[in-house]
Amino acid sequence: MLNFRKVKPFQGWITVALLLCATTSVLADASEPLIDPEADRQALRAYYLKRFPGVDIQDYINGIYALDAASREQWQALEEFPPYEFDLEAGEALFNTPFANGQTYAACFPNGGVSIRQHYPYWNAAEGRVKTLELEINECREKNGEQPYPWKKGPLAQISAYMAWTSRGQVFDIKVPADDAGALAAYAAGKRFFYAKRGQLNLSCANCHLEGSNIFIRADLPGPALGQTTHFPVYRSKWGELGTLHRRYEGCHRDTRSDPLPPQSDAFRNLEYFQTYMSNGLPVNGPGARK
Amino acid sequence: MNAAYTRYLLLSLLVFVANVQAAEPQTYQQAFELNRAMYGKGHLFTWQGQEFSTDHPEELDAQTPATRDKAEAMLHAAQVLNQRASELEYAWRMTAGLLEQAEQALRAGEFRQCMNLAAQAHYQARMSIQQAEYNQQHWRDAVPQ
Ligand code: HEC
Repeated sequence: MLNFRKVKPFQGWITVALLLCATTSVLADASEPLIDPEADRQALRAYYLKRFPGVDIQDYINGIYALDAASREQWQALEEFPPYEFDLEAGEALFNTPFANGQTYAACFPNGGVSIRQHYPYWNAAEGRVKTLELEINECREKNGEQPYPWKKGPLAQISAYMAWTSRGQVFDIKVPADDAGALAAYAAGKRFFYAKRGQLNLSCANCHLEGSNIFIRADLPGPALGQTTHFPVYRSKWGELGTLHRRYEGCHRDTRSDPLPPQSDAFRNLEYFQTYMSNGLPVNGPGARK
Repeated sequence: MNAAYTRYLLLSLLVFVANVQAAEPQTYQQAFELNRAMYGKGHLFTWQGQEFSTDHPEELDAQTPATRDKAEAMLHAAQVLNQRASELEYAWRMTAGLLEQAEQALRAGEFRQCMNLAAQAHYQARMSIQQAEYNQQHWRDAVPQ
C-alpha cells in the first residue's frame, strides 16, 4: 500500500495528477456509451410498464387507444367498418398488376412480397443505408421503367397497406447488426432524433410521446412511443385518406416549428429504424385507422 | 420587544438581503435573458456597474443607418447562417419565409424593412444552431435507463 507520508510532496502531486487523468478518461468514455438497441428496447418497455401498470405491452400497437378509454370507444366503432378497406382493395390490384415490361412487384421482394412487413425497415449493408418498404416499392417501379409514386399518400400508401395486410400478426423483428458500425450509427441517429429538442418550440418527439403520453397538450392527447409504427400506413380521419408514416413524421416535426424534413430523408428513415426496433416483439397490425 | 427577538429580526433581514444579492445574475448572459424576458427589447439595464441594452446583437445591427450595402450584408449573413442550420437539420419553420420577405424588401428598395427581417432570421438561425449544439451535449438526459 502507498504510504502518503513517506512520499515526497512532488511525487504526491504526480499521483494526484495521474489519478485525475484516469478519472477524466473514464468520464470521456461514459459520454459516448455503447450503442445497445436491445437494452434501449427493454428500458422503454420497463418505462411503460411502470407508468401504466394496467396496460398490456401487446396493446401498445393501438397507440393512444391503448391508454385512453374514451377515444378507444370511438375508435372501436370506426374499426367496425374499416375506413381503409377501399385502399386495401386498390393496393392489392396495384400490387398484382404487371408493369409495362411484364415484370411484377412480387419479383422485387423476398417471398413474393407477401408476409414481409415485419422485416422493414432494415439496414442494407451494401448500400450503407436504411431501406424502408416504401423506398423499395418505388425502387421496384423505377427498376422496371415506371415513374416513382409520391411518398406521402395515394398508390404508394395503398400498396404499402396491402403488403402490411398480408403480414398481419407477424411479429416485428428488426435487426441492428452489432458488428456493423454503419447500422449502429443509423440506429443511434434515429434515437437521437427522437430525444433531441428541436424547432422554435424546443420540443422533442419524446416530450410529447414519452413524458407526454396520454397527457393533454392543448386539445391533443399524444400516444405512446412504444408500438408507434406497427399499424402504418394509416387511414386518418383528419386527412380523410390513407397516409404513410413519413407523412405523419413530417406533420409532427413541423408541429415543433421546425422546417420539416422531406419524407424518406436519411433522418426520417433512421428515425423509423429506431422506432420500429423499439416495436420488436409486437405484431404487424397495419393498415390502421386513427382520428 | 425583547433583545433576543430584535437580534432574530435583524438576522433574518441580513439573510434576506444576502439572498437577494445572491439572486443577482452571475453571468452577462443570465442578466441579459432576465431583463429581456421582463422588459422586452429596447430597454437598458445595469449589470456589474455597466449599462447594457436588452436588444439582441441583430436588433442593434438593424438600427444602424439603412443602406443597400448594409441590407445586402445582413441578408447574406442570415442566409449563410440558416443554410448551416439546415445542414444540421435544425432549421426552424419560419426562418426561410423571413428570408424570402427580406429579399423582396431588398428588391423593392425598402432597406430598413429588409434589415429588420434579416435580423429576425439571423436571430432564429443562431438560436437553432445553439439548440443543435445544446442537444449534442444533453439529448441523452431524456432517454429512459
Ligand atoms: C406537441 C406534441 C407533439 C410532438 C412534439 C410530436 N408529436 Fe407526434 N403526435 C402528437 C399528437 C397529439 C398525435 C396524435 C395522437 C396520437 O396518435 O399519438 C401524434 C401522432 C403521432 C404519430 C401517429 C401515431 C399513431 O398511432 O398513428 C406518430 C408516428 C408521431 N406522432 C411521431 C412523432 C415524432 C417522430 C415526433 C418527433 C419528430 C413527434 N411525433 C412529435 C403530438 C406530438
